Amino acid sequence: MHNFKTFDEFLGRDVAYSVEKTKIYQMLSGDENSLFRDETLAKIFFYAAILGFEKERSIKLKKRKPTIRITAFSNKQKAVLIALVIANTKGIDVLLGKTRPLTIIEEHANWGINELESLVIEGGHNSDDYLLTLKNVIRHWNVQPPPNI
Amino acid sequence: MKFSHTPGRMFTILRGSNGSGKTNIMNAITWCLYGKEKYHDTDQTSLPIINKDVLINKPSGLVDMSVELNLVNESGSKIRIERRLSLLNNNQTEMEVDNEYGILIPKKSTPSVLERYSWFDPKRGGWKTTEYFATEIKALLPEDLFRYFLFDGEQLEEFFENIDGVRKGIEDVSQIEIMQHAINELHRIIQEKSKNNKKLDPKIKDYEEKESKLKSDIANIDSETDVLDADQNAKQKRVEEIYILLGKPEGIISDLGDKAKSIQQDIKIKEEEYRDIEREIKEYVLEHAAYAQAHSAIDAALKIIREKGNTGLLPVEIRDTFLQKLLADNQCICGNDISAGEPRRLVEQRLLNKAQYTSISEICTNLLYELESTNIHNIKTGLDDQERKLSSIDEQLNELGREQKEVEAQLGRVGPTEIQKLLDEKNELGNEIQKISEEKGRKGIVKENLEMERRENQTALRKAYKENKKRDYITRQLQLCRESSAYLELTKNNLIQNVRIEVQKYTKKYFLEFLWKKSAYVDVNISEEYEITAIDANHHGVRGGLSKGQKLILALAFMAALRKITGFGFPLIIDTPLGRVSGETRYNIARTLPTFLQYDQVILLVTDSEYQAQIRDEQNQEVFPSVHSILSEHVGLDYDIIFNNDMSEVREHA
Repeated sequence: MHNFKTFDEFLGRDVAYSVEKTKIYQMLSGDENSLFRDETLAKIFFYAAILGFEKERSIKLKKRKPTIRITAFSNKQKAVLIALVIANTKGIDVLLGKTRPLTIIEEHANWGINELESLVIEGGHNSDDYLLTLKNVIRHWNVQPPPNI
Repeated sequence: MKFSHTPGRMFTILRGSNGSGKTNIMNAITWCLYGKEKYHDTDQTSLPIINKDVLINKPSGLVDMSVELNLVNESGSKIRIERRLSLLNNNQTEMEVDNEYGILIPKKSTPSVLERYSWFDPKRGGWKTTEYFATEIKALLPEDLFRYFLFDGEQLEEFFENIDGVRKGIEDVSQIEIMQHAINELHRIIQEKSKNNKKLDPKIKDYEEKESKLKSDIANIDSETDVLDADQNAKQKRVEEIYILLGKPEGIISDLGDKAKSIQQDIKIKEEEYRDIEREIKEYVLEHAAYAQAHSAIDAALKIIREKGNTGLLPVEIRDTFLQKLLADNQCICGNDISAGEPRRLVEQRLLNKAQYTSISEICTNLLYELESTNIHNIKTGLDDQERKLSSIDEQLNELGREQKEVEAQLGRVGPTEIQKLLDEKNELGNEIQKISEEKGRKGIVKENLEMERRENQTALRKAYKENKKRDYITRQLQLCRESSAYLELTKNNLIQNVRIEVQKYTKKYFLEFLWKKSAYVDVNISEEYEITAIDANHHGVRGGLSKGQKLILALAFMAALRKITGFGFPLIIDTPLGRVSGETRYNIARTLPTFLQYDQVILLVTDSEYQAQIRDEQNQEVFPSVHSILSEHVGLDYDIIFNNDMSEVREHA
């Protein structure tokens, strides 16, 4: 078995999203009221994926459009995405499985992007609310110091 | 010396040779009447009226000379005219003409002259003297007319042959002297006033046009100034409105305005900072919130990985592929052979089981690294810092907002931008008001100059009007003078013409009466050009064709006509009446004279040869009686003038 040295190697391909979600991605990155205005698709995907995993919701991609280069994500973002998969499956065995972790991530992001849209764009002031939500998430981030391995 | 005035014997003869002093008789008379020796030669070669012998005998001392004329008119009134000259001789025998007294007197002597006109008042039995000597003389015989009563017979022809002489004769007897004097005076006045009038010619039209223009220019300036005033007032009013709006003294307004402006600037900057920080916070949050959001998952993953670590499954120390190979090769790690069931084989199999995460071992190690490297504290601190910064700026903005409100409250209803606008507007208006003031000042000066020019022009115009009035008056005067002059001229000319016609009539009468060849001529004409022409039987005008005798008769006739016209009655004195004629002509004239002059007192000054000698006609050798013979019955008194020892003496002819 191949020993994966890098996240890119491990994830193995560019990120795709469903074609019908293209408009949402465009709106999120282009709308002047959007919190994610001028942000990369990778960041939007990232947040969509987190939302999907948080809610444990996913939607299979009907028509894939691999448009986000895997290199567009930072190592940290890739690590978090993989961590989401590990947490979701409650083990690291999923990393060994046939189902590519990226597919799982894409499916959760596929659901998450809708949620992100409703949180950010719909209603006009949602960006501010969502920003506040995110600030609170940071503020209330309760972290235990890491144990020594 | 007496002169005959016996009717029928009215002739007095004074005989004397040439230079004996005959002419001096006439000089004495003219000197007595007019103060001038009218018949004195200008070269002063003839004897003076003053007796030189007296001067010689009395070289020094008082010299006294007088002439007295005693006249009796037809009504018997007696007139005495006396002129006396006294002078103190200063051993001077050289003579000179005294211009004032018209006589020859010793040089450098100072004569005094007495003139006296007296008439005998029978009621008072004595002589009365008038102080108006010249007036009386003029009434007796005007100086201009004396030559028609006292004349030189030798110059008679020339007198009437000269057109000027004829004209003068007619004019003299017309006695137009006063009229001519008046005409001359009028001409003089016309000339003088015309000259002055030209000087007075005013340029009223020019002044009036200038007045009109200046008035218009001044009105225009007033109008323009009114416009400027209105503009200035409007601007001033606006400035006042601005002051009301600002509600404060300008200095404070300006300061508050500046402050408001400054605050506005600061607010702008802070808002910019605020936005920047907001943006940074947003970016920061977006950068880190995901991790916070996924922290549960991250924690769970970390836990799982760590557990694997705790259980020794991670990181994988021996690669599964190595162990697989060893197992496949039944080889121990140490190299020994291990077969199935061998405890070392079991160990290797357990090791192989433990190496199941070989492929993802590094990934998990990287995961740990990445996930654990997130410094939550720093992230939170970072966010807090940013939030604090934002909060600080927010506070600053609030503070600035409060300051702004305070300033605005002080400034009143208008905001700082508006205040500045108003202040700018006020300043601009101030500049414009200043410019208007300057413009008004310039126009004021122009107006002042125009008004001064107008005043000067009005003065000149008033003067011109006055002069025009004066000019009009002078023009009317000139008109009157011209008309009067023309009328007088016309009257004079008419008078002269009438006199000419009268003289012509009497000249003709006398000429035809006393011409001995009566059939030879039928008329005498004195033309308007004063040419005397005898008209013969063929009605041809004859001038040059008259004989000497005929000329003399014509001349005498003319003189008689002139005398007739004058109306003056003065004795007739003719010096050498027949000297120019001889022979039969002399005889004829001598015969004619008594008839011709029968009513006149006549004094003839004759030479012996002229008077006494028989008349011999050289052409036909006929001998005629002497003039004496012819005239003797008409002669009342006969004198000889004897010149002896430079002195003339008159004695009755024996």
